Amino acid sequence: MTSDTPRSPTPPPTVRAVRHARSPLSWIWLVPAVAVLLTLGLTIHALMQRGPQITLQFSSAEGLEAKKTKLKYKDVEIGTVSDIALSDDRRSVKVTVAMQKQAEPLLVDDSRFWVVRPRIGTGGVSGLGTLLSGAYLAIDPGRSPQPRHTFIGLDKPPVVVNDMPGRQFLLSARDLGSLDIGVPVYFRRIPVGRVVGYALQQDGHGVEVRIFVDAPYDRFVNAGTRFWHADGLNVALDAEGLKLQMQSLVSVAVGGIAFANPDKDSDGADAPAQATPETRFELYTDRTEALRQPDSVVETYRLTFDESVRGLAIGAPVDFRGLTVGEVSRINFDYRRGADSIVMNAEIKLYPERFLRRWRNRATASSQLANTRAVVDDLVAKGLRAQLRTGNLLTGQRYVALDFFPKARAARVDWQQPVPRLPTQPGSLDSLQEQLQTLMDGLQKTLGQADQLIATADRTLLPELTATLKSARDTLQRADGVLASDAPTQQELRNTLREVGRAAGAVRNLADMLERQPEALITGKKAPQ
Amino acid sequence: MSQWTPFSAARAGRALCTTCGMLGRPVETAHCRRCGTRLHFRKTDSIQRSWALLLAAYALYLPANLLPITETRSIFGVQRDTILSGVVYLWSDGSWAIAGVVFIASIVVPLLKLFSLTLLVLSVQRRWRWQPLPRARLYRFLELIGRWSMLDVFVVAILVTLVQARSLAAVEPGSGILAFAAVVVLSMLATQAFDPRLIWEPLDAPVNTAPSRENRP
Repeated sequence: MTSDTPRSPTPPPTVRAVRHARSPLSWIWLVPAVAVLLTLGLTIHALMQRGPQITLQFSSAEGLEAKKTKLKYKDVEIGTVSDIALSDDRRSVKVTVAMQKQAEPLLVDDSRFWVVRPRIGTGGVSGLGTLLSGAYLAIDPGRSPQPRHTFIGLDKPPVVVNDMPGRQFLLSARDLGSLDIGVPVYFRRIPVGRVVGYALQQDGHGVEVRIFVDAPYDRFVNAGTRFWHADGLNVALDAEGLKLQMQSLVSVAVGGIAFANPDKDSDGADAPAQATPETRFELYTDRTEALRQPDSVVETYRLTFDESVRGLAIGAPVDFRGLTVGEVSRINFDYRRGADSIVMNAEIKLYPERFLRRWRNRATASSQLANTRAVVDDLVAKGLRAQLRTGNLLTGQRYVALDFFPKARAARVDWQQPVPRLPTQPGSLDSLQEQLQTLMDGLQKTLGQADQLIATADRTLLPELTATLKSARDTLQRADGVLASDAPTQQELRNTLREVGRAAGAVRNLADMLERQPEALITGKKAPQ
Repeated sequence: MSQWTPFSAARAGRALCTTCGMLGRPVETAHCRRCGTRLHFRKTDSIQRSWALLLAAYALYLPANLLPITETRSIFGVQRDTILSGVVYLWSDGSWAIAGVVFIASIVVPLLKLFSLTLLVLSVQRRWRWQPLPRARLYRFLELIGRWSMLDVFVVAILVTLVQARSLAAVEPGSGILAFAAVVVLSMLATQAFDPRLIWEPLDAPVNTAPSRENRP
């Protein structure tokens, strides 16, 4: 300070230097401004990206990890598992997922979630990538406009996801057969879809099978389409013989469903309407059954047989001169106290359309259909009877034949009963059998009588016979004694005979002498010369 | 303390050229007579620049720690790691020592550096007379350790260049490492912009005359 004082007239340099540099806003403030803007931008971006939290409920958290497991849609990450906890009732697992903002439209009422893990199924191997990367969550976004943030996760990945082009159809079947989720659906042997689900019907009387048919093929499904179990190998042995059907090797292994549209009637029925989502299809057991003409008119009749119905199965055909016109729907028997016999009852379903479809005159056919009873009465009067026949001698399968028996006893159909009864005729083979039976019975009776006869003979005749034989033997012995060469009787007889011979010689001599000297009779014998 | 009146170059109207070290007179010639460098008594806008760079570093410290610094793509999937998640991973893996080193070098040290520098700038702006010598030491220490925080950035750079096995595994730098590098660089710049000589300035003035700075001879 001391040395500087003389030069003090000039303003203190420090102050000036500092003042010179002080501008109201230095460029340097751009740096924090940019930094703050950047951070703010990132924060806002992160906040914007932050979507809703959703809760998924799974039966197990196998392979899931909090903060690691991603939720992906089309292999794009749209969320991360933020927390895994047991549910309140400790039966399932609650997985909380922090979703991104862009995923918000996907979180709707019918969205589905599942865990992608490596799986080996009928459709092949899936999720192999997750072997290394670990499981991840997948979403199948729904189409509902209703947003939702709590979901119940699927245990298995859905076979069909919502954005696949194609349509779903509902089939009802008697049983599931060998179907499973994922088994193929064939159209003309081309795999065109797969089974996506099944459930027991509410009343337990059948199974509902949900199938998905891929887009270009779904237009082949119309209201008239028939579906059947294309179980790989179909062997059927019935009254119609042995049937063997095979779809493809894949379906041999895993089963399947096939569908086809029945050929149009020769006289051109209307083209069937397009199938609607509400259309329910019947799933038939095999192709033959499926492609039968649908029978809209069904009439039930009761048949009573005095003979055994062995070999007649439910579903056995009702045959009219070779045409199958119905089937047996129920077999039971009727027993009434006091009645002299038990009668076997068979209920048959007749499809009168099958007769009429083959009638030439369709106009009369339809009018006849309206007046079935009159037709049946007429036919019965002409001798129409039901008869049990053996369809297959090898297996003994039987069917019901409708045929005309002009000599049959007159009968009428009683329409008053809830299930009208068609008159029956004893079966042809059956009557033969009956005759044979009668014959056998007679034979048996005869044989029994013969047996009895023999027994009687055995009891009474035999001792007498023995005694007779003994006395006969005595007689013979005695005769033997009499007839023996050294027996005295013989000796005497021989002597006697010798005497008789001698006497005969004397007589001959006498006769000779008399011939030569007849006078000797009077004169007596001359002395020898 | 109050009696201590040191001689200073600025007071004498002299300043050293920061490039060639020649003593010049900024009042007469704004530039160094030898090498032409602009002469200043003190670093230009020292406090203001320090503040600005510090604020920028603070602002970027947040994304540096929240954004992923590496993005590891492998057949096991994509994994994004922040600095803290790396520390947590090392810690849970049992490598406590390394976890500690990383935690201190990458999280504590940058933060401490920012805080210390804030303290220095604040003290200088307020013309505190408190503990000048430890403050000067602190400044020297800050200058020394500043560059070491770049270690993280280098590790990431090496990882990214080394681990590039195409589809099997690849490490990509995350945006967090950019922010982190920016924090380190900004804090280094802030340290550089700070003029430690300002620590001593309030002490140069006698205590009794300190409030009226303009009246100083």
